[in-house]
Amino acid sequence: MNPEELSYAKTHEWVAVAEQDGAKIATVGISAFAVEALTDLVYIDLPKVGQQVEAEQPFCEVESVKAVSDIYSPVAGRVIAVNDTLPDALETLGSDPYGSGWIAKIKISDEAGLANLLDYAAYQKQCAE
Amino acid sequence: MVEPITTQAIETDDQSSVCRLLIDPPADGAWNMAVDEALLIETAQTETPTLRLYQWQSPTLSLGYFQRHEDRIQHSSSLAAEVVRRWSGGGAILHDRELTYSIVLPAAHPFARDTQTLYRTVHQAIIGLLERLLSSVATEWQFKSCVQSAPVEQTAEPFLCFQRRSPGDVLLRPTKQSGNSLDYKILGSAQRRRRGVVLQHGSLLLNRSLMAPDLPGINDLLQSSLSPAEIIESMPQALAIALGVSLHQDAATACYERAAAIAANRYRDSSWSRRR
Repeated sequence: MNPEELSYAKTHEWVAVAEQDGAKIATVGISAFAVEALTDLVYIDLPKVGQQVEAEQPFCEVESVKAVSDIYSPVAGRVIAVNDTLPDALETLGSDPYGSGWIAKIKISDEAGLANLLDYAAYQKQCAE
Repeated sequence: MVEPITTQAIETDDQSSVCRLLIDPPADGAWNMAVDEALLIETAQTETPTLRLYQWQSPTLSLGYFQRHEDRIQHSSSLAAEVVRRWSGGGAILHDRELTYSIVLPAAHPFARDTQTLYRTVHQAIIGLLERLLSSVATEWQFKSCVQSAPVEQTAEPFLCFQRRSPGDVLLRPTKQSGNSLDYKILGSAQRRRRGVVLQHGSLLLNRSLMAPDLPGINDLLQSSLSPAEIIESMPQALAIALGVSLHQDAATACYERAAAIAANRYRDSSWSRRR
């Protein structure tokens, strides 16, 4: 996916929203900026398929250099798929963060959270601060 | 369970940023980990840093957040020890004859953002402190900061934190290097981050534990007699200077109340320690 066409949470998750069978599905990952800041990822704890998630609440955890950090769901909804190849191929998050490094797909239940997301330019500005 | 806790105040001259100081008596693993978690949660609201020093009332194995409980079988000498899973990463630590510190910084603190900066800052301050406290001890060892990770595959990472090597770890290394000389890790730290707030806690190994006889402490290597009390007396000031904060007294009642709930709901529940 083209990072310039994605939406971003202030907490560095990216979101691509697509229509599927009349529902809105958000594909979620973490930005290249976040991956670089985390450095040397060694573990990821993915959300569970079927799990209900809330916007801006932790739904995934990663460990790098002995530091455990949360990843936040940018939208509210239900997890319908996770990228279960990631735990054994964490380098994918760095090599292809906006493609094969996706983390989860969420069927959006409340679109209100989408209004809080940043476009690419605004996110880049945040990263530069 | 040990509670409530008494605190002790140490003041510094630097008024740039106020930091709460908690010096806790020895407690069990569930309580110790619950207080650290409570501090992190509280700091997200109060934005006040905290420095805490504490010990463990009985030998306790703390597992890194992502470690598997069943892997403790790899370290047979600590199998009889109590076990608690930390909220932070890294390898397992056998807490016995040591001193543990924790530092919680709000997102706005200049050292909160970068993981390595905080490891390096705290560890360098502790190296300086140890060199001062042990300046009269004739020794052929020197404190060094580890510059790179041990060249091992992830799957071969040792179970114990003190058998691993990560950048910033504090090592004791012989001053006269020879072909077979070894260094020993005496301080390792780990972090938990949430919404920009960072909790960093670390273990300073003073003496070899019977439950980890393969890991000598500072006193074993230097033939010194450094006590936790001596370090507690001077470490807060050393860390306050390094972090640019001034220390103040606080009963931390709300934090301990929150910790009691966290301990009951998470750290005293065996399913937490066995969740992986």
